[in-house]
Amino acid sequence: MTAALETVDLGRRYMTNWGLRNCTLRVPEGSITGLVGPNGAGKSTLLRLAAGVSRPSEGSVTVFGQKADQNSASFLARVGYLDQDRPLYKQFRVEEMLKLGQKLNASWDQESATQWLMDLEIPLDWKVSLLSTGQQAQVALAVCMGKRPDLMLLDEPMASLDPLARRGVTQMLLDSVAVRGATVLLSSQIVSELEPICDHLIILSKSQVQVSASIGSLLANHHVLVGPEGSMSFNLVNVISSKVAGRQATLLVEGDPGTLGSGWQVLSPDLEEIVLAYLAKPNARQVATSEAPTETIDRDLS
Amino acid sequence: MMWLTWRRYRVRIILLALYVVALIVFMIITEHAYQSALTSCGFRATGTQLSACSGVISGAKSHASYVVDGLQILPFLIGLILGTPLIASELEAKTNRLAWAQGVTRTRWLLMSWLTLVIPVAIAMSLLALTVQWWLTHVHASVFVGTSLIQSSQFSISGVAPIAAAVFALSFGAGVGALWGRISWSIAATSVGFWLVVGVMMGWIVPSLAPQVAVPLSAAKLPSSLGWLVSEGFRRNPGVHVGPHMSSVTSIVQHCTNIANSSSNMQTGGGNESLVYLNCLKSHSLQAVNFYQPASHYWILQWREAGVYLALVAALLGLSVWVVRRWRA
Repeated sequence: MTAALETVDLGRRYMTNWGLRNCTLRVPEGSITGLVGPNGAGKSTLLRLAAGVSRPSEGSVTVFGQKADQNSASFLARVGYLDQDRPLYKQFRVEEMLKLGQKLNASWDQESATQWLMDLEIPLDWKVSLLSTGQQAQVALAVCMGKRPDLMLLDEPMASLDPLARRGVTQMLLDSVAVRGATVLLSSQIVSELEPICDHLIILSKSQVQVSASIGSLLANHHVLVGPEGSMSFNLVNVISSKVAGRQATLLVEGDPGTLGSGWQVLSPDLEEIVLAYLAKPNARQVATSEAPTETIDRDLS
Repeated sequence: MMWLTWRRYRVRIILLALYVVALIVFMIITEHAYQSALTSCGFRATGTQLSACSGVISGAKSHASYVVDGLQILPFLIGLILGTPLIASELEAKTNRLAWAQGVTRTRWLLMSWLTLVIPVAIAMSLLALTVQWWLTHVHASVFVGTSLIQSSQFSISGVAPIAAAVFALSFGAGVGALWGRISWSIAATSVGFWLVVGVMMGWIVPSLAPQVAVPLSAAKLPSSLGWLVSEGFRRNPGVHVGPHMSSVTSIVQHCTNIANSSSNMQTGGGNESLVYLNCLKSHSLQAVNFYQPASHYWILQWREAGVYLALVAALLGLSVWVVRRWRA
């Protein structure tokens, strides 16, 4: 698969601290990639760099083979960006925010953007400042989606939305990927809300990439091993987490553990377990190559 | 793109337009009232300032000072109200992250925003310039008696230079806002910086944009309509030896001032100390001169001042583009 977004040794320094460092990853075209990590891990920094809002201190970031740069019209035409702060002109009416999108973008889809907000019962003639935080987030999202970008960079699009609205956003993202072949990179704090839509996952921790892989390969390559404590001997296995309760040990490992001793059993972890195990150990790294094996995941379209 | 800027600034543009309209209306009404008052007091018939007209003229002078003040402050208001927020308010409210992520490059965004504001500013200032020219020629003969259009207050509000000054103020506010990125600081820096530039322009740059005319000082007072008195100085008469103990101009001037003062003390009536002073300078081969920009230089100075402002505009616009292109979160 060709990459919609590719970074090589990407780094961004803020004064003396690195917001992101040594970041090398690919986001496949047509994928929905989730970006998780604790606060301050560099998720927003990565999205800003990809959107050209920020520029790298080192390394490179390319979008469809083109340098991420807001001074390039051809780059801007292909990328939609939803900032974490949802900046909007607060004195504008909602319909004027859509007009802004229309005036500033060649490939603007006024009908979909308007319909999207009307379905959410957001009054188009209201001033943005009078809307709730969640409604403002939806307006910002409508401006981003109305542009019909090939790559959508969404910084926590589900934050401040109610469960029903989250479902609507999920559906819209899936539709744009299915219908237009768009690529989505979205960040979130909540793994369970990414699982039903994402086919790829990036875990950032302490400004570095911990994991970048398809969700299928993550699930296939990680195992939970449960057995008697003291009889652990696993070679060639990357142990991500281990805990001992009484005489029983539970391990989350990456790779094939091979034949295990007596009393041990192998279980399949769910995605949240894997992610939490990585997040708990910021220095743990995925060893397997990020792209293999590639397999299609049945997305929950309900 | 122009729609966006218009939408963001329409209230401010309308307020400034109202201010301009108010100035124009004020000029028209006061001029009209003034002319009929002059006719009724008899100035029209005789063409001289009758004592009966002095009240009318002093009233008109205070009206004229309102107009001059109102016009002089306008470029500054434009810089403050339209220029400063152009970039700074976007950076402060983070709306640049929205605006610059649309399909328009940052450079285009800035140039189009700037242009959207410059066009109404230039139109309003041009209308105002025409009105001011008309107003000055009508009230000039009696309110600014014995003066010339080139003299400071009239020069600074008339002609083409105020149009360029307003475009400069707009660009200055925008440039300062781009550098600071915060409205409050940008307002402070624009306020100080703009008046500093105006001061330097009127004090040093504009007077030297055309060759000055040196007029030797004589005992008789020079007519004020001669032009814009730029500076007072001294000129050495060529070929005349100056004694070594009197070589520096300041010591000669001090010496002659003392002589003139003592002569006025001796002659209780006084009156000819300036003659004594000038003769004393002459004996030391010095000549007191006043440097003028003559009235005939009015338009050349206007165009050149406008040229300087427009060069500054180009530099500031370049700076703003550079800052906006390089900005990163």
